[in-house]
Amino acid sequence: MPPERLELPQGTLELLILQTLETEPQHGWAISERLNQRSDGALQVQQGSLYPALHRMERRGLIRPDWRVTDNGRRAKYYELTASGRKELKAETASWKKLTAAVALILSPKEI
Amino acid sequence: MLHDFLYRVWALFRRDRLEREMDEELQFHLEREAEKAQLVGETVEAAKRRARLAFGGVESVKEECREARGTAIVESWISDFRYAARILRNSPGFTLAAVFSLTIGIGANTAVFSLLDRVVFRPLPVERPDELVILNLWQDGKASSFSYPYVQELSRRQSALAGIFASADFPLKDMVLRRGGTPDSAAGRLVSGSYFKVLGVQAAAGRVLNEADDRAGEAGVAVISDRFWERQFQRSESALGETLTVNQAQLTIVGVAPKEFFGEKPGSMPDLWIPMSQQPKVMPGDLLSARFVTWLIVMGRLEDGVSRQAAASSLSALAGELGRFTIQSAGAGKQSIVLEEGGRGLEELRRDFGKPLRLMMAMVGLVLLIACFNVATLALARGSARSREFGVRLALGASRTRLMRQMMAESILLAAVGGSLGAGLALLGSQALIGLAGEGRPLSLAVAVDLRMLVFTGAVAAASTLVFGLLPAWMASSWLDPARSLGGESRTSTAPRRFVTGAQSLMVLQIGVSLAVVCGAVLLTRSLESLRHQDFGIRPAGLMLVKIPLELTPAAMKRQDLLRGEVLERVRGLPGVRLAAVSCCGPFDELARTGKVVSEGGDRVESDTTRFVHVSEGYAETMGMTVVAGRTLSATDRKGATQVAMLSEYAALRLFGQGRAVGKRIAFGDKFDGARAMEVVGVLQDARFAGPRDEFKALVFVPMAQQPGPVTSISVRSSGGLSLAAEIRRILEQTAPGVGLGSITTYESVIEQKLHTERMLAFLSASFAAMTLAMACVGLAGLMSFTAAKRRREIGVRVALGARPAQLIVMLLKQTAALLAAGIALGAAGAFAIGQAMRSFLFGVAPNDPVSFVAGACALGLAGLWASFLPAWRASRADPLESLRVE
Repeated sequence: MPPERLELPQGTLELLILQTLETEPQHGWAISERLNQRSDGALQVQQGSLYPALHRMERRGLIRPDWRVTDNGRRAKYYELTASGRKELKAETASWKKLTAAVALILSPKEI
Repeated sequence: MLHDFLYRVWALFRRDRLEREMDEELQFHLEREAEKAQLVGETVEAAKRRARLAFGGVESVKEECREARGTAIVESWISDFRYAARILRNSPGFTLAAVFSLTIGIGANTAVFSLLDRVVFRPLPVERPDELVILNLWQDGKASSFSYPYVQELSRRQSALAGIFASADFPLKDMVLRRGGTPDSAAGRLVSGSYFKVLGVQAAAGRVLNEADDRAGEAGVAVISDRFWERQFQRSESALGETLTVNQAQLTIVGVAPKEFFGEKPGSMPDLWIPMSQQPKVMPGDLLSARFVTWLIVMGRLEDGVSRQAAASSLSALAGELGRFTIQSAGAGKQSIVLEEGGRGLEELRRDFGKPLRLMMAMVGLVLLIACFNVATLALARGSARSREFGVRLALGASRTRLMRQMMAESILLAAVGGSLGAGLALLGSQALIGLAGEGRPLSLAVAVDLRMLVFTGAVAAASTLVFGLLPAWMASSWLDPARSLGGESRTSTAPRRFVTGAQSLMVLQIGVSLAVVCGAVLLTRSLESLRHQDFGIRPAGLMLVKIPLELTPAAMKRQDLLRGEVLERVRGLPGVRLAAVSCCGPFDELARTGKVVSEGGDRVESDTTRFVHVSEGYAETMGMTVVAGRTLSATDRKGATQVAMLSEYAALRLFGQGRAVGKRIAFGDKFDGARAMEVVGVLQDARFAGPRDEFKALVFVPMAQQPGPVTSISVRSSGGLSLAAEIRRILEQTAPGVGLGSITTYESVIEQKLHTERMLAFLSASFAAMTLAMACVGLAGLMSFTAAKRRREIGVRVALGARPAQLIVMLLKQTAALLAAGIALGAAGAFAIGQAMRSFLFGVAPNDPVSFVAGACALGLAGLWASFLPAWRASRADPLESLRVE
């Protein structure tokens, strides 16, 4: 993995996936592309590691699989958020924000 | 969480589909990624490569995805079990032997415990059984039953208990039931009206008895049992309201008791519950107002929160005022009421079977121990043979935990198979046991397998399988050097040899315990034989008894004259009949007349246990009793002639001393009364009258012609055996129509019936011994094939050097013989202990009977050698070239 790219802290990948799926259902490749684009390439998720995360979230009932046909006529496994996935997204986003704010505060105390 | 769990389970069953979908999903991703690369102008090959690179290892991602499904643990267990099943299938000898041992250990224990639980531990199927108490009236250190007036008064005045009831079944086990057609017999219980209320039992149909039914003059009613309903009415609703004639009572059926309800006496199943008010019509004599006849059992229910002691002291205070309602001999001490725990009902069955069943439980516990030893021995021996397999697997990178898990899977599989077969065996066994225990008496117990016991024995057996299955794997993984165990037979490693030594030590222990069980069985069997073949004082061969139920009604009394006269004459005239006589209260009869007897002048009084037997002439001859002195009764001893009697040897000795009885006079009672005296005309050899194990007691035989008594049995000595039964039945029907006929049996079968507990013990212990021997054989044979396999090289060398098969067999069997000898030496102590433990059950054989010990040791030794012979023989036949090539 190129050195300038950031490693994702534990558990963050799931939060990002949830966020990606908030607006509409996506298949795995699209999620990976979206993550790549949104972070301007700063976050590079090894594409393969996405799938175990997706399957784990499916098991936990945060997302629901849905086989659909893509625009160019291919069958693909789409994932959509479930109600509990939405709840999780809300809660995790809030706690992530709190955490980053707190961490930022500690790292730059002079700014206060 | 729930979703998570359900998903895992779902995923487990949709494994193939999920795999397909996962492949498709990942394929889709890779293709899109490649397409993207192609868009920026890369070649197809380069694009594909780039896509795979960006993705990471596809197989490891798949593995991670599978893990994410959460079925990995289960799946790896499943594969462990599949592998275990394959391994076990591939060693059928070990598997069969282990499953056999487990089945027997689990099945036999569960069966015996299930019966023990029914008989000894289980509470009555009534409401809150722990509140029930049994009342005992104590006076001068003796407990007595209750008279009816006493119960009535007590019931009226007591407030310590929530309620009490009285019941009795003594003379009612064999009532004569007439419902059109031939008379049938029925078992009844007389109960007070509060019976069902105090027990808290509702009727399954109709109503239960209530206090109103107690009032004398009330029309006769009865509640019938479910079984009686089935037998007599095929469960028809029309049974309610129907009237039965039972003895002299007309009873209208008002209700049916619940199916599981058998009353307060475990093992019994009354057909009818009859209110007390009907007593004078179903029994001879009116006992309802008799203060001096104590015949009732009384039970009660404790008030909520009142202790047994508190209730007892309150009742005892009352007992002081109730003395005039029962027997009170002058100068007797104060009466008190003691409350006994009653939740498990009356103790008759516990008393009869409690001790024997506990003994059997102890023996069958040893069988379980042996089964565990056996499985452990085999598992250890097999572990030694598998050390190479363990070595291979360790060398291939299997972790120790993985190896242990594998062994655990094998053990669990074995225990599961053994456990389920054991459950089946337990079900069959408990059915057979109830049949066995119930033989010769109306025993009614539900067949059931006790689940707790099944789980317990299963766990014990599984644990022993597990421990001794894991041990070799654990030791192998810590001691074995994979390289060495792969390279050769791990000759330098001590581990396999230790397994063999361990297995052999376990085998020695097993043989020791087996010897105890086998010796116990031999002792009980020998005891039964000496009971059977003892001198009864009566010659059983060719003797037959016709039992007549006792009915004390005028009509029945008239029939009695016919029995003594015409019936007896016609029976005597039957072809094949040599002798016949009638009697009242003969040997092993439930009815016995006992009392005191006194000699003229001598003032010697025999105790209450003297039995009086009313007999017709020819009785002693028919029974085959030997005349020691004087003569037997003859036709001249008729009414009006001198009153005469015969004594048993023991009675003659006690009353008059050795050889002086004939010609002397005796009388019944405390004081000699010349007017009612009898002259002793003969002395007969002592005979066992009360039971096969009983002490000889004093017997007085009086002629029925002079002192009439009801005929309760006709004794017939013939050469025809039971083929005469039909003839005798016809004579009874023609000559004395209406007489209730009990049974027609040979005297030998009466003895067998009386020996039924002993027979049960002998049979059960023999079965346990057979199981034990079978397990010892299986274990020794298994051990032999493993050790022979280990010594294969050595045997090959010996054969190559010219050893003959016979020499090899002897060499191998020596090893077994050494194990057997060590085990038997060790087991001698156990055999001695078991003999002591069953001391009170033994008759005519000493608890340390050397013959039994030697017989047990021989049986075990021969069986063990025999079982080891086959594998030894097979090993001796092995081709030396083959054997040497193994290395």
